[in-house]
Amino acid sequence: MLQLVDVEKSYRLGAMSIQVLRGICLEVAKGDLLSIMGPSGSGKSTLMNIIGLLGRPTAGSYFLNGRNVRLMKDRELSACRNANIGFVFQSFQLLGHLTALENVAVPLVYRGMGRAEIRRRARTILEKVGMGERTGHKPGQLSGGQKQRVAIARALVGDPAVVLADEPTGALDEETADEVMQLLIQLNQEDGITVVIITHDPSIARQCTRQTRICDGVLREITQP
Amino acid sequence: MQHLVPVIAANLREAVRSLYGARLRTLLGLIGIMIGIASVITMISTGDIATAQLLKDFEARGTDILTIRKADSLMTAAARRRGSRIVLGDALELADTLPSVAEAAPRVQSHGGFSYRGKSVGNGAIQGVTASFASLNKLKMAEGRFVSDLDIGRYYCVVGADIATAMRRHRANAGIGDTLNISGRLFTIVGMLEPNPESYALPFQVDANDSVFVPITTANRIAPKAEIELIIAQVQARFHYSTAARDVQSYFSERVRGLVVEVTSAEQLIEQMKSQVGLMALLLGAVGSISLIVGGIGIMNIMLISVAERRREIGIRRALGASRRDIQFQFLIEAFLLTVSGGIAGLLLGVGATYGICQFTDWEFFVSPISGIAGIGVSTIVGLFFGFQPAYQAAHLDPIAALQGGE
Repeated sequence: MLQLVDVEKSYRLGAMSIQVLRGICLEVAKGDLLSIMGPSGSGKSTLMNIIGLLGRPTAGSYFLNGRNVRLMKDRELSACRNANIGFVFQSFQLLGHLTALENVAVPLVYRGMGRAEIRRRARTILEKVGMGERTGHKPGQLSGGQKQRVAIARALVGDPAVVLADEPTGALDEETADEVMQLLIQLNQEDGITVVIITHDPSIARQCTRQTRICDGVLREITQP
Repeated sequence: MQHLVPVIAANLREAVRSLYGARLRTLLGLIGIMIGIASVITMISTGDIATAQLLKDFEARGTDILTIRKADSLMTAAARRRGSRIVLGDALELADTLPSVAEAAPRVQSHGGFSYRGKSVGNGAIQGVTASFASLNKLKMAEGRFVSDLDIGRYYCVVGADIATAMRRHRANAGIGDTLNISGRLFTIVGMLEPNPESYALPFQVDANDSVFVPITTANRIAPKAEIELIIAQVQARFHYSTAARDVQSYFSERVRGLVVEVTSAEQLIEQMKSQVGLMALLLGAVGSISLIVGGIGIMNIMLISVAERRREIGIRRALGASRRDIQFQFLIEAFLLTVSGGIAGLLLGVGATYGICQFTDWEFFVSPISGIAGIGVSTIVGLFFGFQPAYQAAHLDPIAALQGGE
């Protein structure tokens, strides 16, 4: 479903060229619960941006549902991101002026869906993550764990191929972090949702069925599929 | 493309929300555009109204009026030395001789001081005229009668409204039969004029309020060297003014050797004035446009700030699947909404200001539909033009950097 072949990424910094990713090969199948672990500066954020279609590889191929995303123009790439990727960020990245329901609705708005249908779907998914009682709250009125649940609902609302979670528990206390992690695991096990978690925390990584480690731009699989 | 309607609706809701969120800034931007649009509309409308007023003035006085003056610059040096000039007899016979001229009223003009019962009541023009001068210039009598063609050489005078008022200040029942001292000569007042309204139809409008009118034959006697400097004539109904003008010119050149007269028709003058007013409106419109550009730059500034403040939001939206075009559209709609509402407010303000000007000047108020269309149209263009750069900038932000740019 998701296949990276010899993906490289380098940045130019003045006259120097810094290679962040060196020949990454990764295959993610439907229903996987995969962790990518690595220290800061290892290139894991860059890898996540490439998987999430926010950045393009300098070399190599990335196939998403059999299509090579390197060849896509911005509109196609954006539509593809909208349809296939659900982001969960460490800092939640909710829009402060919108309610929980409206935040969850944003991906569907860019799909051009009708307003009533959008609201119906957003409400259903918020109920699923246990936020059905707080659809009208703004992010400022929610706790960290609640915000992350809203963010997870937003990631799920468009039925993406993969949920990409970047340090999803990084900004939460231990107890809430565990709750959020359990939610992601539950979504994976019960609904077969593909989840990729980027983290530097080994205890998070251990809860995933597939574990990988990135170091100096090289990715290695720890568990054998 | 069937997606377009909900996307536009969502963008509009988002734009309203965001503009409302930054109320003060929105208001300031709105004021800038509003003033620009209001000044353009005020200037265009006032120009239109002034033109209409001008036409109305002319129509009230009749557009069939000609003025005839000696044209020194067109005469030969010999003719000037000879002193070729319009002769009273020729001027009086003009209407009877030419079928294209219905009536003609010559004028001899000098200036002097007026005193009444030993006290000065002003100074102004002493206009030597014939009876037809009053009707051709639409002068209205308040009391008594105008100069008659039977008053040959008599020391009778008709006073303008300002002089009559000044006289009454000395003696409340000053009026017909009283004596007025005009430059040392005593005249009997036979009539008093109503105030003559100010008009933009000059020079077809004579200044009557601070003048005295005497029989032209008397004026000739007082100042034998005074020339007939003006004849006001009316074109016979079925003739074109240019025909009448040609007839008049050949009439005078036949009567007096070397005499050339210049004939100006009201219609010709209307054309000139219209183009002058048009030019004026254009200039004022240009000044207004500058304030509109300043307003537009204000909008651009506001939108740039808005983009900078919402980098994180842009990053989030991009991550959630917004294309560059979606982001560009979102910010363009916001700029558009801002300028169009500024434009509508400006339109109302401009119409209000025009109404105020009309109240002040006694002009007849109307709103030309063009100014309305121009107001909304121009503000739309300004919004799209000055909104484009910030929107483009927003659309081309790197989503990764934008996501990190916030918290």
